Amino acid sequence: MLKDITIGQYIPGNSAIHQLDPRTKIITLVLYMVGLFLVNNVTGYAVVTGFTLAVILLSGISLKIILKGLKPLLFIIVLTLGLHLFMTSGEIIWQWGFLKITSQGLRQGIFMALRLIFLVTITSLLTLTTTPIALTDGIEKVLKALFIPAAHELAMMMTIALRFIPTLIEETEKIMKAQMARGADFDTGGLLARAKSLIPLLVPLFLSSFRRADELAMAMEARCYRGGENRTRLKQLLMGTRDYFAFGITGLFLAITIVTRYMV
Amino acid sequence: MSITLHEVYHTYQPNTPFEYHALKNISLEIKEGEFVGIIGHTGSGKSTLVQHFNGLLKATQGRVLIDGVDISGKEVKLKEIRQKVGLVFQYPEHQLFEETVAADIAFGPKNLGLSPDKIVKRVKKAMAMVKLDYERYKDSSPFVLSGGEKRRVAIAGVLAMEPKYLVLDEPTAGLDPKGRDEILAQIADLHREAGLTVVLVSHSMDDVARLASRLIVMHQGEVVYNNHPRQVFSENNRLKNIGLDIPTVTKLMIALKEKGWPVRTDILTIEEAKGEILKAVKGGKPHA
Ligand SMILES: Nc1ncnc2c1ncn2[C@@H]1O[C@H](COP(=O)(O)OP(=O)(O)O)[C@@H](O)[C@H]1O
Ligand SMILES: [Mg+2]
Repeated sequence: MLKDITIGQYIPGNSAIHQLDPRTKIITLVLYMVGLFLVNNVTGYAVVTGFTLAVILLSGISLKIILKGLKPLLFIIVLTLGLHLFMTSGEIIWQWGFLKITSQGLRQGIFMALRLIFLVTITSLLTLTTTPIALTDGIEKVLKALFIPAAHELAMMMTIALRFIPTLIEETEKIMKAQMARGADFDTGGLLARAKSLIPLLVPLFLSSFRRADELAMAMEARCYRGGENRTRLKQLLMGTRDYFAFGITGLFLAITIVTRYMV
Repeated sequence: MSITLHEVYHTYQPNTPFEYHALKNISLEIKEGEFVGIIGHTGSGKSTLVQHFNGLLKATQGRVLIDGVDISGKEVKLKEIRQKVGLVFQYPEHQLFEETVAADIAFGPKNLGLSPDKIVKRVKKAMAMVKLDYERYKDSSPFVLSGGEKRRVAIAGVLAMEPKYLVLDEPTAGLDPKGRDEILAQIADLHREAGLTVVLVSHSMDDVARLASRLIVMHQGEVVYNNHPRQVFSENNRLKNIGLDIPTVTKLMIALKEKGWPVRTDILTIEEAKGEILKAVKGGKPHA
């Protein structure tokens, strides 16, 4: 159940996407998002879909894992689709009582749902193909380039948060099971009963998170960690042909999305 | 009446790159009144195995029967199974959440839908079973107690469900030697005096050897031994191969025998060892 959440997981591999410099991945991800939010017609979405599928294929991550990662978001996706479907005014193509679907609504709903799906897919692809350490280094360098203060600390915080998502999920499952062994019931009853049933889960979860944070801080200090100042690296990040190629292709993608928006 | 597993397999995260076969073809029976030890190296599948006993995990393949009832059946109420088979998780003190010890122990009985005065009775009884004084502890916060006390509160939380089978997953992990001995002595009492069927999971031979009347040895998701401790420990070399040690007293007796002392080596407790050694010493020095 909770195991389906793939954000924050890393799947080892040797694909072209795995081997890209993390900075390249982060920057091209931002460019991709700009493109994704620019497109507004069928041609544009076709381009985005093609590009996204190509990237997934190139990463060697199986479509099954990607789909599994989308499962927890199913509700939001369906909600988005539904809201647009029924709430957009325009030319009516289907009506039942007060419910009506317009052609504009249909179009808008599908576009928005696709946008959400692609957004999550590509973002999880970043963490699926990048080790946490590479990701921190990448984020840090990008933040530094933007003159953001405490770039190292911010990057470290983000990575630790990402790194601990699977751990927290594991912990949640363990505590849930322990309370279920005492007869707890997490999935029946009304809204209030369900909210109440979360207390035996949340209290231990918070406590263990604090305990973990404490232990991690201690372990980092024991190894003389003291922030980013004067910190050097064993592995320097180096951009190669592959990365320039990735920038080129993403640039091209962005250009095409602009063309589809303003010229088609 | 028993817990019976018939050709049980369990696979974690099937059909993903993380697929892991944690249990392979497990068949075993735990009869009412027994004291069974489950032992194995970390990662051998002990915790996965015991979570099948009360339906927290479902067998990927195979059948689990509790008192003759297949728990994968649609009509089976899992809450009843979980009442019957009490499972104490590893580090159970991490599941405490209430403001007072009494309230936390009452969580299980409350979930069973008992009346308030029945709940209080059960809480008192459960606390007595783990030798926590009711008046002294009932209103204290579970979070200010010592490690060993917290663990006893957590065990009482399961005992308050009045299970017939009590399954404990590494109940001594992380305790100091004194806390460990206390918990083990209490578990022995629960078996002897309260008449509970006990399944004790551990990776330490010293803990289990003295108490269990039967040992199930797990290795890489399979049962490699299912026998009386004396028989199991006679397989010294094979146990070593799967990364398990025999109890310290047994090791001592084997060392003495190798030096030429005429002693038995299937010894599990210090008392037995004492008798054997005294007998051998009276017989005079060995001729090596
Ligand atoms: N939720 C899970 N998902 C995937 N693998 C798991 C999960 N829980 C346990 N495992 C794996 O199953 C194996 C057996 O684990 P476990 O039953 O906890 O062993 P033990 O209790 O004997 O240490 C281990 O290799 C562990 O990594
Ligand atoms: Mg375990």
